[in-house]
Amino acid sequence: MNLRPVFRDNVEDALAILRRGFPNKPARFWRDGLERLAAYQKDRPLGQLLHTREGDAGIILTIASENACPVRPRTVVNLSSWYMDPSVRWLAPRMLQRVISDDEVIYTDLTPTAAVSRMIGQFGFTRWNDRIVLYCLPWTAFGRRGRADVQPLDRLPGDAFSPQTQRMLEEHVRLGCIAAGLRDGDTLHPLLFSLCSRRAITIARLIYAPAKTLVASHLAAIARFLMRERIPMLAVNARSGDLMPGGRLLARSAPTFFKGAMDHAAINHAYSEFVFFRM
Amino acid sequence: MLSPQNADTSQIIAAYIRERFPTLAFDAQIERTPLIGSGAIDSLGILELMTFLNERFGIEAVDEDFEPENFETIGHLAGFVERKRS
Repeated sequence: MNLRPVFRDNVEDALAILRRGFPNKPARFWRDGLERLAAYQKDRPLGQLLHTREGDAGIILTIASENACPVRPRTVVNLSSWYMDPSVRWLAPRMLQRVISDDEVIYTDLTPTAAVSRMIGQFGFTRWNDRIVLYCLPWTAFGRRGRADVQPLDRLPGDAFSPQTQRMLEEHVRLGCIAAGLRDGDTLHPLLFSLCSRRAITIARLIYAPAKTLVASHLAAIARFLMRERIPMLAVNARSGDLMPGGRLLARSAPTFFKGAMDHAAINHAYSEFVFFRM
Repeated sequence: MLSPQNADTSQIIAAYIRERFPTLAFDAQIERTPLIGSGAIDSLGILELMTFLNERFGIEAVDEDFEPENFETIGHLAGFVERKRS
């Protein structure tokens, strides 16, 4: 076996195996997502293909970014869309071992299969969240009206956030996300939402917030903001012990994992498959 | 026919596999048991096995070593170890 990186010049090879591995997704889903990813990644590989003497037999996408609000700058790599042909699944741990070999990098897996969830802890990954909580925003918006207020990014001054955070928010808006600032007293906190659709209902997924407790405290203000954006539902990744009042379980078993120096109290799915592939 | 070194290596590997993988602990034909095809050792087990070979025999496995023929039986694995050491 060997691994070969995916770049624009061999993206058709990646498309072929993604189509084979995930036949329920249309070709356009992968093509558009890889195109968005390639435009952002520039010189960095989009993923790795597992190659054997019989040809390509596996793929994993590696979505790299710089941590948005770090203690110190760190690269984050979101692992996504991992598929291996049945005949080479015995090589899966080796492939993972090779892909996550940089100790300086933070790795995340936000949509692991059950098999990967069982295995990934042995590679240094920590369980981050274990469920998805869904809010029906017309109800949530009636919650306690505090002092907090949420405004869209384009209504905030250009220097409202650090340059790095501002760039992250603006890049996500260009990728189809909603960026906002949550003002709580004198402090302005960045928020990011990706959008997806389930049964013809648009759902905002919270993909960036400095702390889950901040979100839990200001759900009504966030709901009112999203309602103004004509979004009726909000999905938030959470742990069983998190206090997320008023939410309903959308998925009881939806674990997410990280490896490295990630702030596990934050929500940080920026530059992930949720953004580039709109999952 | 196995060389003396190869036979020693096979015995060491067989002892490790019997201890680490309980389904093979009492396998009288362990030398001939397919390691991957039989499902006796799962994919994580293969990685653990390679770690053991590294620690016990000082061989550093590279991607190209992860070929099915190296894992067919304990004899094949012992042959692989000897080739890496020579």
